[in-house]
Amino acid sequence: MRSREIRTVQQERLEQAYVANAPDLLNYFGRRVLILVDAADLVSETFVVACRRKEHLPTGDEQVRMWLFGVAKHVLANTTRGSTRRFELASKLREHLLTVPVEHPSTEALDIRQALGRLPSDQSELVKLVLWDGFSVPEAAIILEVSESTARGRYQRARTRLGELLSDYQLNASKP
Amino acid sequence: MDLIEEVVRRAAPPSLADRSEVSAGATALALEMVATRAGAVQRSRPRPRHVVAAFLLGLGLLGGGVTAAVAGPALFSWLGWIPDAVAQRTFDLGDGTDIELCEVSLRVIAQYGTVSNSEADQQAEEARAFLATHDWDPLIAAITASDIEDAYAIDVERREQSELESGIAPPAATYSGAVTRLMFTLISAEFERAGFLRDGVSLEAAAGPCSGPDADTPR
Repeated sequence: MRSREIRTVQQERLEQAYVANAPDLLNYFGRRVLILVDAADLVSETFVVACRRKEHLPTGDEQVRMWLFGVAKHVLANTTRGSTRRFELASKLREHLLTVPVEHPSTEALDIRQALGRLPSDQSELVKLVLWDGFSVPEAAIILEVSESTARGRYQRARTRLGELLSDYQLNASKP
Repeated sequence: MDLIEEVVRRAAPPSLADRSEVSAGATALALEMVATRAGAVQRSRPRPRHVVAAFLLGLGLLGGGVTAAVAGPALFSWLGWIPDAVAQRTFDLGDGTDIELCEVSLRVIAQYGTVSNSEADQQAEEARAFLATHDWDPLIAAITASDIEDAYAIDVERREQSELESGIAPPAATYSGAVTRLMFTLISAEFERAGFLRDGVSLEAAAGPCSGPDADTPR
């Protein structure tokens, strides 16, 4: 009975975290998929996978959020290797996403994203988590399942390399 | 944040979370995923069949059979989910008992755990299409006053037995409860006969009170 109670508490905590973070998860996927509507299914898939792995759910609320994004990272990686699984429940959100206007990024934005793409993937993902998704470096370290010191070193290297790749923009931004 | 960080941050694709309807859609999807899983877990416990019915009261239907979109937003709000089909009918008991519109809302839910997830999704999709498009009218129209009286008598008997065994008086039997259960019993039996009630699929139903002055009056 005790183990069942623990499992129930785990499930409730997982469900609460999932619902609370669903918009951010959608945003996370939306910024990383080629076809925007796929993000809806990936949000669904994240919950399915998280339920399977909930015995690994950490105890602190903030850690649960990082853990969920860690699951999302795996879901995304698996999807890029295969096809997106379609969820019936995600159909409404897919329809919403179809109405999102197509982005027309500026030349600067395209250049910067291209520069990010020239970084090693572990560095670019770390930079995206920090600068696009708003995580701190220690939080991103949890999501990427690396130590904080590793993440800090990696971030610093990425930042230095980006500085080289984006020296023109740095100069432009420095102009009054 | 230094300049490099600032230009990279500015290059982020637009935030979907800033679009309120998309953000709300993500939350709604999450809630539905959670609710569906909760239902699936509940149904995965030993049960004679993968059918779940929540009849609060309920009975009735005038004219219609099962249709996919006859119920209004108020019903969906009360249910907390959108039915795949709604069975509606009124019944004439022939003795002046006035039971007006009764509705039974039905939906198919994928049941994960017993088959692969993709198989469950596919089977649920097929079952949902059957539930929403099958002509249930003849089945429900065949319910007679005698059937309803029998179902009501059984409900009364069960409640008396329950009170004898537990010493606690259950809520009184009503025609609403008897008829909606009868409607659901027939629909779920037909659904199962058609081969759609199988591993990976659950059929869920709910019914509210029927309208009519005698629908929920114990006799």
